[in-house]
Amino acid sequence: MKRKLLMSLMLFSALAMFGSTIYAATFLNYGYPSSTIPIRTYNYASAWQGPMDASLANWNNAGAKVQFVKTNNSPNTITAGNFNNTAYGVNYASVSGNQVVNFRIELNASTITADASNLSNFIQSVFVHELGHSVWLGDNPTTNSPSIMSYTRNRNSMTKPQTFDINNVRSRY
Amino acid sequence: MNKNRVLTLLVSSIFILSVVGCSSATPAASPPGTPLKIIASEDYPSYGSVDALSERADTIVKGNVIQTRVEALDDRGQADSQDQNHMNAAGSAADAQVSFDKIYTIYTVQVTESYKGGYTAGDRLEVKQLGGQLGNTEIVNDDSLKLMQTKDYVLFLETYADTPASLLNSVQSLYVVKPASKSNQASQQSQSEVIVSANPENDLTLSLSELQQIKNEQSNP
Repeated sequence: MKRKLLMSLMLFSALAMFGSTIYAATFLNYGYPSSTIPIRTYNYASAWQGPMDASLANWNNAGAKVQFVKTNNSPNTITAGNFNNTAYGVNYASVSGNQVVNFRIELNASTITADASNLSNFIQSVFVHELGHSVWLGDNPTTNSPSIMSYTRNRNSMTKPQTFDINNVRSRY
Repeated sequence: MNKNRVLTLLVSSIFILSVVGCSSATPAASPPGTPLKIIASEDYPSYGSVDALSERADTIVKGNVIQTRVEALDDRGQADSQDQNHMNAAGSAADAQVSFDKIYTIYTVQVTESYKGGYTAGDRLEVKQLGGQLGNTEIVNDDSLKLMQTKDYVLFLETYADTPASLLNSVQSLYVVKPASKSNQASQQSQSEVIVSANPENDLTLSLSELQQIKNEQSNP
């Protein structure tokens, strides 16, 4: 009887863990280890500074249990510029084990300005998406729910983390 | 060993492996010389149709890879003055952060047919994909598809004056050309070649007739 109980317990635990691994297709294998995430202070013209600041606020006010905080000496940086590649944005994460040690986010003004009908919203959509990578969220999750991580979202209108994203981040912090 | 013991051993193994595999314990400090691993995650535009894809590409070619190399590249472009004014009013902090060489895998592609853009059969062009290892630094980009020298590809590209071209995105912009007999696409068996997406996540399908149409539109705008 004891053996059966022990086996059932272990089987249940193993299945639960594998189950979470399957669900983790939505997740990266790494994330920032603490819920307060410093970002080095940046300084751009208002057309970019405003939406970039709003992006931090969009996460900070989402109820996702994470806070992005601007500080002077953080190794985590954000750069907006014109890059010769086709991405709207890229998150470069230095990773050790399952932890982000530091990250660098680039916003590509060349592609963003080419496709934006609402520049402010588009910048926010891309920046909020890239910040999502720092808090475990993977690209283009398989879901019918709206997600800021989706490649097909309307970047001219979706500027904030969606319920699906918020719940996923909350589950990690 | 009886049946129960085998089962107990199996379940225990699964349990232990799952605990170890999902452990979120703080990793030990990396020993000196350990490669620096940088994982790149990109946010790409997605295209609703082959028409939208081809309209956005400035170059569409068929070709095969004849050389591959890994190189550190500064892919910053030349911004026009209007962009600079819009972005960098207080430029010093931004400029200090911008400098960052990225590791790209660069493929030299020999063009065998051109559908759009200035290249012609026999030309060579370079296509870059983010990711690769140089020394102790590695950029890992799971989105990138490795191009192989044994295959023929159709590529939808954006080209630049001073850096290699880029695929429009990693899902919809790269197709493999296969002999029809090796393909399962029965509808195109009558043709000598068929085109299949290099990325199984791609929901766009591309046909030879569509490519020909793109080529015709370029010749007769």
